[in-house]
Amino acid sequence: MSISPSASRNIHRWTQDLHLYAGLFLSPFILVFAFSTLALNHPVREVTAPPTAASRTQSVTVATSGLGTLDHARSILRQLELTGEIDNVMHNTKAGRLTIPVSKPGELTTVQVDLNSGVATVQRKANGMAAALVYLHKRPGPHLIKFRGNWGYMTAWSLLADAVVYGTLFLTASGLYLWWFFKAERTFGWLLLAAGTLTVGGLVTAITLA
Amino acid sequence: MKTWTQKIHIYLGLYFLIFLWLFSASGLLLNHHWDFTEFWTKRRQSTNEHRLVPLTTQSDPDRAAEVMQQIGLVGELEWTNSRPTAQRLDFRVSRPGHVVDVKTDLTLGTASVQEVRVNGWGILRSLHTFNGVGANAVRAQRDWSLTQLWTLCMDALALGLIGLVVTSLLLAWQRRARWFGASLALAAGCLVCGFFVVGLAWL
Repeated sequence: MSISPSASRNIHRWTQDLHLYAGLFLSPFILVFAFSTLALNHPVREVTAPPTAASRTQSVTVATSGLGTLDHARSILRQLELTGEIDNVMHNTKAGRLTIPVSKPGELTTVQVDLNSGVATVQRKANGMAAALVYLHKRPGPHLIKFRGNWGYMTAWSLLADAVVYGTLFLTASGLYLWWFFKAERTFGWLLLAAGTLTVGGLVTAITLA
Repeated sequence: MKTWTQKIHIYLGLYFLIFLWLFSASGLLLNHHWDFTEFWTKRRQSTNEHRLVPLTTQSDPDRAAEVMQQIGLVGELEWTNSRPTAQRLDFRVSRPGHVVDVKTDLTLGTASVQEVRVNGWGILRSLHTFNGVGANAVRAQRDWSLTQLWTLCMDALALGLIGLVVTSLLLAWQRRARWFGASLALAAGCLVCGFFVVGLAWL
């Protein structure tokens, strides 16, 4: 079955438009992943950065059951009017202390709760724009699976991160389709495709089989 | 102008196509825990003892390199913990799919070598993050030439992506008939992305 010339033109126009619109929508996300890759590969090792604001203390009501669980941590954060993704909650039974790290892009807040006195100390540290990009690049990531996505916005981000990947795959597929119509670019295009494939293939083989 | 912008867009896209697929696939693997991609429970482990010829060098990196040469190991050298005693030299040699922990006793002249090998899914995942400057490394610097090359490729991909974005903006600018839709798509992307990058801190 062959496609009529007008149908073929329509497919081409639609692909071109979708490639343009999807590409533009994804552009800022692609920049986030690109700049954060550079930041991850060339980290600026800093001596422990000081907290951004002076720590504050507040009395909280600490439930005796479910210590160290997400729900328990959430109830404490509600009292402190804090929001963010809860990382690994640590319960030090011996010291009677609960540590709740709460993160947002470019920001880490640590809540230390003295379980005996019921006093929570909150310390906030702003890490800057590069850290925000790196944070988003790494989320949700492979670690702390049972804790990940406990803040609605980070669940939304993980869906978006997936959407960016699938969107990028669409852009590459539609890009290949559109390239095929540039007859003048076919030979050089094949050469570049082959060069890219050889670079990746050669390096991966060398790294894994060295 | 348009022709050259278009050419650069096509060339960058074609050269980095396989890189992009590799990092897209490995990114998905890192974010999801699909059963069929399980690699850690299927890892192969082995432990061996080696006798060492007395080391002639003084600094830790040189000694580690000497031990690696004697045992026949290649890969990125990682210092996973500070040196426990002067007689001990513990380090890790890693490359995607293959991690080797070496614990040497310089007094006895022995090295305990624990190797872990993972399957193709594990290799794919670690290629995504293999840059020789791991977050847990005590002294992080790239000392394997292939790590340096791989990192260079990752940097090149990042720069290539930035180039693709810039050329796509220029191409969109030149397609006047599509300005409205293009501006809408770009504005929506900037708003959503900006909300996560800077907006969340205000909540």
